[in-house]
Amino acid sequence: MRLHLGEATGMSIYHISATLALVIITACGGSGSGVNSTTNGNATIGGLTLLSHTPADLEMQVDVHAAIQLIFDKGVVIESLRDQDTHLRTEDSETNIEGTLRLAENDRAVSFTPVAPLALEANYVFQLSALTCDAEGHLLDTQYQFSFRTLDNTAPTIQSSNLTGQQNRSRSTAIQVTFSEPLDIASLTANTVQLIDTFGQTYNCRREIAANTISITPQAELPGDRNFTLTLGTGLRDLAGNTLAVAFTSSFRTDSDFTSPSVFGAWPAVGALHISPSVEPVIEFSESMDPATVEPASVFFHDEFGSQVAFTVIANENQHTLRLKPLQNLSANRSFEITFLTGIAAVTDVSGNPLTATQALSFSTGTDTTTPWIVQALPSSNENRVSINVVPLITFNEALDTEWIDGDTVALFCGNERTAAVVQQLASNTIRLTPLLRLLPYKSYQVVLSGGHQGIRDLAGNVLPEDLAFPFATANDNSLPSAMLQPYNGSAGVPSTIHASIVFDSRIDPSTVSAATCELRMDNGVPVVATVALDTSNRVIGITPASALVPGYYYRTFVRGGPLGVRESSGNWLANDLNARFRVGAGIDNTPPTVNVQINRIAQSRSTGLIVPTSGFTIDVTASDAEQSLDMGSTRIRFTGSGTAPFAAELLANAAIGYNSVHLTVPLESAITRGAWSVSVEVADLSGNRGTSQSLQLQVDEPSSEALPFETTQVVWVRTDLDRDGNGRSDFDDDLYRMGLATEGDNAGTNSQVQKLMRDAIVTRASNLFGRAADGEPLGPDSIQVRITTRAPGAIRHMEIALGGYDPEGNRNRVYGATSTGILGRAYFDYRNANMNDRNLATSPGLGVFPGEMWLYQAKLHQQLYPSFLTMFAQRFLPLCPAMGGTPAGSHPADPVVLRASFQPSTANSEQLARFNVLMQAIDDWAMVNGTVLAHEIGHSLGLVAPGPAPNGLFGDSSLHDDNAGATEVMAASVGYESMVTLSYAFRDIELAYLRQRLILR
Amino acid sequence: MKILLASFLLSAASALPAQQQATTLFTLAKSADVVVIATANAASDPSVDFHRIEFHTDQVLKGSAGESFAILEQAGRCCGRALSAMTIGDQVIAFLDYRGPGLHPLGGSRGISLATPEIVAHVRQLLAAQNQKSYGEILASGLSNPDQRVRIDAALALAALPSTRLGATANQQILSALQNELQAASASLPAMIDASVRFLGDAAATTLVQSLLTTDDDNVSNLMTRGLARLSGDSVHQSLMVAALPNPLAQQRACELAACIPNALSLPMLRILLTQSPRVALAASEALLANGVSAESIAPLTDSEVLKVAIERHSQLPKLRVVGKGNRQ
Repeated sequence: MRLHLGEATGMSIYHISATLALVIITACGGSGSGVNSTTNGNATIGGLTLLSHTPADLEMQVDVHAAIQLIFDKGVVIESLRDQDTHLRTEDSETNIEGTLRLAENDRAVSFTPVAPLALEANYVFQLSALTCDAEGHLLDTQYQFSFRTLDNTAPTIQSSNLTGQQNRSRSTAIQVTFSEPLDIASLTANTVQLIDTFGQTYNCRREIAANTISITPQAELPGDRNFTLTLGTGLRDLAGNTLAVAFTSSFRTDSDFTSPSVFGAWPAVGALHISPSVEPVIEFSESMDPATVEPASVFFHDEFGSQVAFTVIANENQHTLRLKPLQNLSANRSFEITFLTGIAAVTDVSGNPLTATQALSFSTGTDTTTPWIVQALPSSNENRVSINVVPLITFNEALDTEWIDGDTVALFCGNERTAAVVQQLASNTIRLTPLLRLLPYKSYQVVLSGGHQGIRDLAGNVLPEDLAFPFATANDNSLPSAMLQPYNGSAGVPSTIHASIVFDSRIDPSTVSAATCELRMDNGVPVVATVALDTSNRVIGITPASALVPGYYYRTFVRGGPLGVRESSGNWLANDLNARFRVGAGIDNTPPTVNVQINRIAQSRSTGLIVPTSGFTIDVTASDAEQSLDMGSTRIRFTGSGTAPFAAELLANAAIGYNSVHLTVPLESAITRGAWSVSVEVADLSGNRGTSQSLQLQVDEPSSEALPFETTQVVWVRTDLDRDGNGRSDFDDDLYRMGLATEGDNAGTNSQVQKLMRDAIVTRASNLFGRAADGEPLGPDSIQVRITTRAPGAIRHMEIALGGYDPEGNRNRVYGATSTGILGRAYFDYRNANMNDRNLATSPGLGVFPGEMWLYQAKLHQQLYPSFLTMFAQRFLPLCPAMGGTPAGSHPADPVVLRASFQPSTANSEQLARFNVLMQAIDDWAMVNGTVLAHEIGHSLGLVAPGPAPNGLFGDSSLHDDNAGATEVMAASVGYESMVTLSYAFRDIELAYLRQRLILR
Repeated sequence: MKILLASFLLSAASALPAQQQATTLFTLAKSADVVVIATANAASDPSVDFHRIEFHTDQVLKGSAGESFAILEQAGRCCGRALSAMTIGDQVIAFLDYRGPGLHPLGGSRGISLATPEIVAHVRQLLAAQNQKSYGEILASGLSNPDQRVRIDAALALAALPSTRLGATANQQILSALQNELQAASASLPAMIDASVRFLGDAAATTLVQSLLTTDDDNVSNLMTRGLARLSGDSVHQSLMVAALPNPLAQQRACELAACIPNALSLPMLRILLTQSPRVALAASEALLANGVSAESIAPLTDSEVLKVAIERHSQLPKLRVVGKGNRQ
């Protein structure tokens, strides 16, 4: 009597699969004897590496006959270089340049020679496909691009400008000149770009460049009704260094200006007292003024005795603000008045329009001529390891004038980029700068305070002599510390014999741990006499009172936060002080805690016979204590066996510690010797009672390729091209039409764009679940060796899986309102991924991913519930699905615009934006669902979830799914639409350990 | 006869994967031609490519199945068939369809489960129900069933049940289940939120708002906000007005809720929150903009930098998770 047919039937199917594999195996990965290169104690797959190339990236003046040379670390397969993602093109072109490939040096050197010389003065881009591979199937796994420019000996020429011969031109708008090619921005100087009026006066301009166009903007408004000439000199040059052959000139006449200026504001304020004798009063006007018209005849600047004050005039950049600089300091303790006169001698704007209304500005001087200075800056200048949640504070020796403290005079920069921050005057002499978002780790910032007469000043008006900059560097750590205080806040009945424990989530800077930063206090805040000590892991601070605590009393543990408190070794500090209040009970604690330990988060009941690699596996400790006074910082993990194993303190230093738990990954630098080991854990409570876990037996071994799912990267080709229902159109496209993401006839020509968006988004979702980027690139050591592609991979052995349409085992003629089979997909189960060429394409059994079934179910649900309830599916697809009354993609008037690949939402009108959002959010939700199902099916063909306990299985149930499936597990037996679009799905830890080859199956 | 542990039953004989709501006990009971309790008697595979199990009918709950019947499937654990997980001697409850001459499980492996007392009792009740109200009350009582499949399927089925008014007991059962689910945050949470919103209406607002203000999980927060968006804005905001906002997280969540569900009731709270820490002020500014308050009227109440960033973020498009993220090969 047969109980299970799994192995036998599996063998028959594997036999078929194997047969297919013999047919389709090509050059890459033929024999499966992959090279293992151990990088972190796991058996990782050695990849293919591009060591060097010519031309270099961004190289200029490349010979038009040059060949592209690539050097790899292993011999490559020439067929893989013919992948459609390997090409040479001119910039922004979609056309490949023909050429011949040659291999040399044991196939490690590749040269690509264009069949015809390249064009002169052209930008080229060479791209190398991520699917480039060697004979053993090792992939490049990262798409690579570099650019270069061919020989360019041609001077740039002017194509157009926006001012030739213009009359009545705006006095302030930018002049734009477009060249035949981009210019070198360094060649745009005041000498090469000149704006001069008919009287020979030169006007300052701001010079900018974007692509081939330069913009010249006058800094102040130009005089009205005047002729100007723009001259571009021969010093202007292109990126290759070719200079303009002939200077360019163009003339224009400005628009008339008959508007009289008026005074906008002034400083000091009218009637101000005790102003510094070194004051330089500032007057703000409504438009650009002519500083040359400011003279004793037009401005009356005198003291209370009528004595005139001699001064010069300084205008700001746009000449809206004029500053009167007395030739010598004003007399102390005297009143002064400034009056702008009207009439024939009045000050004028740049166009000569006189001031017609006047206002007297009066103030009195005091005796204070001392510039303010800074007494403290936090962070201090050039400080490193500054916490990413820093709020800079600058304290001066005296009160500052509020009017001059704002975003114009106080700023925070990261490099040259301004960082959004709120400037506040915390106290009269203190400025606080609060970044709106957390700072980036390991970056250089600086607080800049403006000096001079446009900057910060004291109440008397004394300014800083110059700009002040306070550079600092943030800690190389993007997470803030947190700490767990034990006893925790609110605990009661705490034994009187305890010490307090503060467990940080990372190593602490020992120099910041002291009685000043960590205290045990009475409830009234008075510190208790105690010893403060940091343990050898640099994670755990113990505060041990000199005598037992008093029963019935409340106590508080205090940890100082902020820059003056405890800090991580990276430099980050706690955002706030930490406090925990607890009450001491009457009892004494003699009971040790109960301790449990797990390897790779596998329950102890399933831990028998576990085999782990020498590093990279996880250890989890949980403890419980009747008095609720655990001291998790006391956790000591002990390995017993022959050979070397990490010390307890070493392991704890890298662990994640919770109120009753510890989790860590055995690091590579603490690798364990092969052999038989036992693991046990001790945890104490705050009274010093120690509990010990059961001892777990495990085998540590170096993994071999036969035991691992990936000799080389598993490539998966997702087949969206199949027409399994035989209706003449791909099943994937059938889904798009059903859901309203494509229109029959495709008059707007948008179907292919939506098809691409949807296909790519589904694959992005599945890639993300395998720890890969949207492009399929690996992100780091935790990325799984699975690369999903949407087209034939060519030279590489690979899996294929159908995506689209209904379950082939159901009725293929079902329409909107029909019943779903309820099955979202099927795939072969391939234990330990023994066969890298699985074909999940059949119709009997029906294999692949079936989005059509999800659509049928959701559609029927919508029919039942609408209009009283709108499901999440209907929220997205009601506007689109034709069967639901929607307008499908390609049929709405806005669709030809919003579905263009080049569409920019920032340029959209409100109707287009609304339609764009409807389309993209629908595609996004649908891709999240089907991408998750795709990852699930691929998971089966990688060996998930092998049934039974380790070392043979991954604790899958008999249906090959997660047993006791919890929240949001990819390999759960059943999944829901709403969950997949709103919650974070992931593979189980043990599955990830297997897929990352940190767990070995035998 | 072997009855396996309830926890194992959940996934015994599952397809790969099933759409949960399409294969709940409620849906299967309604859709199946035959619902039967049977014992797996023998395996009689006609070939290596097919797996057939002979069943002895113990009890017919719906339709007719004869004294015995057979189910035939394509063989292979590799395809996760309903039968491959079965052991001879297992007593199961099967939801079957006539397709051609033979009976086939509905919903793949979800259509055959080990016949635990809890599942059998629940299915009997469902088969005996006469109207939507009865279904609703049976499903509401199933939310606290000791059997995990019954509980999860009840939540899923309730969320998909056509609207109907339930009694006070059923409503209380739904509210209790919602509170438990908010703690557990399992994959049933979306269904429970939907069910609560539909059957409890505004009565669910307080529970959901209180949970929202304390969660630091952005996904769960988003889920609860989408649920709250189905309720009347006034009830949501009245719950928000009386909720405590003791820390920046709660303040931020309150602003995010007010941004997603604009309502004039929240404006005074948002104006007060403009004076809190810059990051809370940022969230409050964004919420005010979402409520149609002009930037000009917000400007005097908050820092210009805060408002500038709020305007930038407010004008950004809704976040897409996977669309347009990269050029594929």
